[in-house]
Amino acid sequence: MTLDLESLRLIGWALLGVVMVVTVLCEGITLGVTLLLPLLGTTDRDSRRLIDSIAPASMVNLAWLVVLVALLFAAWPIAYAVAMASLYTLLLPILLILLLRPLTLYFLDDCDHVQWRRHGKKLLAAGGLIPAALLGVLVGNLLKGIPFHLDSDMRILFLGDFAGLFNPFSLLVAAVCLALLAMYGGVFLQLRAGDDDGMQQQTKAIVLRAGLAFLVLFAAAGLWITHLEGYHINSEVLPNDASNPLAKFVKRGEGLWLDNYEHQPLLWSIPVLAFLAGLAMLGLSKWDKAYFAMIAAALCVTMTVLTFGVSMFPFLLPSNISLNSSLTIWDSSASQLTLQSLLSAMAFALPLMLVCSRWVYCAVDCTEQGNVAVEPAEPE
Amino acid sequence: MISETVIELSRWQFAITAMLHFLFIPLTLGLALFLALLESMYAVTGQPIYKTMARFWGRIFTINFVLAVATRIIVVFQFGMTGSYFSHYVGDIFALPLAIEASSGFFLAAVLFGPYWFGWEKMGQKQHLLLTWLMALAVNVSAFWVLLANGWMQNPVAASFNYQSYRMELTDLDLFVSNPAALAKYLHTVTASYVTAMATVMGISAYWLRKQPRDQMALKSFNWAAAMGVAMLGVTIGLGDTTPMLDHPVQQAKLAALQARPVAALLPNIETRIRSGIKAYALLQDLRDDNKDPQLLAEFEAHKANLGYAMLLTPFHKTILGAEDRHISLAAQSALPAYPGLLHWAYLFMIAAGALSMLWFLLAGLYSVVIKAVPAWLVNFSVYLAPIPWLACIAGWFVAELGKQPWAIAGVLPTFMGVSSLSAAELVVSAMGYVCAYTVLLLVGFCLLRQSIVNRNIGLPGV
Ligand code: HDD
Ligand code: HEM
Ligand code: HEM
Repeated sequence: MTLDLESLRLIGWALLGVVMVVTVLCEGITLGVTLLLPLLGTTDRDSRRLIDSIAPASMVNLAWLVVLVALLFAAWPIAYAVAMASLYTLLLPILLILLLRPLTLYFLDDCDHVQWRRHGKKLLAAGGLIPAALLGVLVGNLLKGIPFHLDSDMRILFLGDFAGLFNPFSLLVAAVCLALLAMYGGVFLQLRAGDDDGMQQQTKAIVLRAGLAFLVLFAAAGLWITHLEGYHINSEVLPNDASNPLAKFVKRGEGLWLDNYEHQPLLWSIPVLAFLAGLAMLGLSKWDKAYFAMIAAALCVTMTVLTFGVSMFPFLLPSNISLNSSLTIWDSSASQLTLQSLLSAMAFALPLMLVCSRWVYCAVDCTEQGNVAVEPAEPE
Repeated sequence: MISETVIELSRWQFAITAMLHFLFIPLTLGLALFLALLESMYAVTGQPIYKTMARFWGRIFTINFVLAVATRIIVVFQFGMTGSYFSHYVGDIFALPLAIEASSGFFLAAVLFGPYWFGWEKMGQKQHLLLTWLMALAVNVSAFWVLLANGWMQNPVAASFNYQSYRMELTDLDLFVSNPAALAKYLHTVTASYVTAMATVMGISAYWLRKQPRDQMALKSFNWAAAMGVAMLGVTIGLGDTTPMLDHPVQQAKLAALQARPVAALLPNIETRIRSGIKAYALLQDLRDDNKDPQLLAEFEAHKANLGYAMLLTPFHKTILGAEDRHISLAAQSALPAYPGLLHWAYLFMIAAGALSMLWFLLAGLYSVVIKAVPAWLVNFSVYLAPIPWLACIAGWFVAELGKQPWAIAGVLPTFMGVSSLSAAELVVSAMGYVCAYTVLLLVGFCLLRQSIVNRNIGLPGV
C-alpha cells in the first residue's frame, strides 16, 4: 500500500502526537514523583519508597523520550535540527541532569563515595524540578515562536538570546507544567501508597493543592492565548510538494492559535475535557478513589498535551523573527520513501511498545506486593 | 561561514560525547550474551554456581547498562545541537535507522531491564531466562541499526540530492539496508565487543584468583570467558573489516593511509569531482531561480553526485563559484587524510592488540579448559592484559572516523559544513557543564564497579 505524501505527513503528525502523549504520561511519572521528593521524602525510608515506586520503570520512561526525539529527527529532520540547535542553551541543563538521574535512581545508596552520599538525593530532586520547569519554558516558547531564520541553503541561524526564552508567557507555561506533573506524580503515589496512612494523607494534600493550582494556571494560560500572537499560513498549502519551508508565506496575529477551534468547534472538547478531568481528579482523590483518580489524572495530562498540539497544527516550530522560515508539517517532513518506511516500522512497533510499557508497570506493581521489597542484589 | 573555533569546539564536543558513550557499549553487548549463557547453564545443570555467576556479572552489566543509556541520551540530542546542518542535510536517511533502533532494540532492552534487575526472586526461573535472552537479542539488534547509520556515513548508498528541499533523500530502502559497509562494520564491531567483554571478565576473575587461587566462581568465569573469547576473536580477526576495501574514493584514500602507501595518486580523480561539483553548484543556483528547464535539470542530475566535493572549496574560496585552479588543488589536497601516519599506527596497534589477545586467549583456554590449572604468571598477566581489546576497539573507531575526515558523510558532506551556528561562548559554557556532569558520572560509575568487584560477596548468599 502506498500513500500519498499528504496522508503520510498527517499520519506522521498523529503518530508524533501519540508518542508525545505517551512520553508525557510515562516520563511524567518519573518527573512528578522526583518533583515531590523534597516534600514527601523527608525521611530515608520515605524517599526510599518514592524511589522504589519509580525506579524499575524509569528506564522505559526515558526510552519513550528517546523514541520521541528520534521520531522527530526521522520524520521532520529540519524541525529536529532547528529545535536542538536553537534551544541549545535550554536543552543543555535538561540533558546534563538526565545524564546523572539514572545513577541517582538506581544507585543512590550503593556508592560509598562521600560526596555522593551527601548530594545524591539533592541531585535526584533537581532531576525532577529542572527538566519539568525547563520543558514548560520550552513549550511556552514553541507557542510564542522561536527567533530563528533559515537562509537559502537551509542553514539555521538563531537570533535570540538565552534570557529572551524566559518571557512571562513561557514562565506561566512552566508553572502549568510543574503543577500538572506534581499533581500527576502525587496521584500515582497515592495509588501506590496503599494502606500507609501517613503517606497517603500527605500525598493527598499535595495532590489537591497541585490540582487546584493546575486548574487555575491552565485557565490563565488559556485566556492569555486568546491574546497571544498566533501563526497562520497565508499562502496556498501544497501538502504533496517536496519539503521546503521557504516556499510559503506566514502571517502572525493575535488569537490566531484559536483558528483551528473556530474551524472545527468540536476541538473545544479537548481543553474542556482537560479541565473536567482535572476537576474529577480532585474529587476522586479527595474521596480516596485513587485508582479512578489516576485515570482522571492521566486523561487530564493527555488532553493538556493534545490541547497544545491541536492549537499549533499545522505548525511544528513557528519562527517569530522570520515568519516564512516557520516549520509546518507540510513543508519540513522527510521524503515520501522515508516517511513510508518509518510509518510502516512504527505501525508494527508502536502497539508492542505500548503493551510492553503497560506490562512493566504491572510487573513493578507485583514486585511491590510480592516478596521482593528492595533490589535483591544487595541487602546490607 | 562559521568560525574555525566554533567548528573545532563542535567537533570536539561531538567526538567526546560519542566516545564516552562508546566506552560502555562493548561491555553491554558482550555481557548481555554472557549472562544469557550463564543463566541457561543454570537452567540446564541446576548448579548454583552458575546462578551466583549470573548474579554477579549481572550486577556489572547493570552498572554498565545504566551508564550506557545515560550517555546515550546525550548522543540522541547531540546530532541536532552541534550538527544541525548535518541533521537537516542527511536526516532523511541517517535518522531512519536511529528511529527504528530507538523503537525496537533500545526500547525492548529498556523495558526488560527493570524486570531483569528487580525480578530475580519474583519471577519464575524460565521467565527470567527468557527475559535475559531477549535482552541480549535486543542490544544486538540495537547495535545493527546504529551501525547501519554509521556505516552509511562511510558508504552513502541509496541517497540522492533533492534540489527542492536542498538535502539528501533516500532513494532505495533495500539498497540502504543491505549496505555492505554496515554489514561488515556490524560483524566486526559486535564480535570485537564480545572479545572486549570476555577480556574484562577474565581480568576481573584473574584479580580474584590472585587473592584466592581456588576461587570456584573466578575459575569458572575465567574458563568460560577464555573459551568464548577465542571463538569471538577468531571471527573478529577473520572478518577484519572490509569498509576500507570499498570502491569509494574516500575509503580508497583511507586504505592507502592504513597501509602507508602514497595517496597522491587519488588527487586527479578528486579534482575532477570538484570541478563537476562546481558545475552542479552553478546549475543549482539557476534551478533555484525557478528555472525548470528540463535540459538544465538533466545536466544538474549528471553532476549533482559531486556537490559535496564543491563544498570542500569553502575554506579556500568562500563562494565556490569562480574558484581558480589553485583553490581546487588546495581543496583536493584537503580531501586526503590529514594524518596518514597516525592512521597507520593506530591500525597497526589494533592488529597487534588482536594478535596479542589471540595469544593470551589461546594460552588461557589451553591452561584453564584443557590442563585445568592456570599458572600464577598467566593469572598475573591476565589482570594487565584485560584492557588491550578495549583499547583495540577505541583504535578501531579512531581509524574508521579519522580516516574518513574531512568528511562527515563520505563524499557527500564535509564535517565542517555540518556544524550548527552556535556561538563560541555557548560552546565553552556547555563544555564546562559537560566536564562537570561526566566527571560525576564516571566517578560514581567507577566507584560502583570497584565496590562490586572488591567486595563481591555483598548480598550474594552462598558465595
Ligand atoms: C557495537 C555497537 C555500538 C557502537 C559501536 C556504538 N553504539 Fe551507540 N548504541 C548502541 C550500540 C553501539 C546500542 C547498544 O544500540 C545503544 C546503547 C544503549 C542502547 O540500548 O542502544 C546505542 C545507542 C546509540 C544512539 C541512539 C540512537 C537513537 O537515536 O535512538 C546513537 C545515536 C548512538 N548510539 C550513536 C553512537 C555513537 C556516536 C557511537 C560512537 C562512539 C556509538 N553509538 C557507538
Ligand atoms: C587483526 C585483525 C584486525 C584487522 C585486520 C582489523 C581491521 C579493521 C579495519 C580496517 C577497521 C577500520 C574500518 C573502517 O575504516 O571503517 C577496523 C575497525 C574497528 N576494529 Fe578492527 N581489525 C582487527 C582486529 C580488531 C580487534 C582485535 C578489535 C577489538 C577487540 C577490533 C575492533 C575494531 C573496532 C571497534 C572498529 C571500529 C568499527 C568499524 O569501523 O568497523 N579490531 N578494524
Ligand atoms: C567510538 C566511536 C566513535 C568515535 C571515536 C568517533 C569520532 C568522531 C570524530 C572525532 C568526529 C569528528 C570529526 C573531527 O573531529 O574531525 C566524528 C564525526 C561524526 N561521527 Fe563519529 N565517532 C564514533 C562513532 C560514531 C557513530 C557510531 C556514529 C553514528 C551513529 C557517529 C556519527 C558521527 C557524526 C554524525 C559525525 C559528524 C559530526 C558533525 O557533523 O559535527 N560516529 N566522529
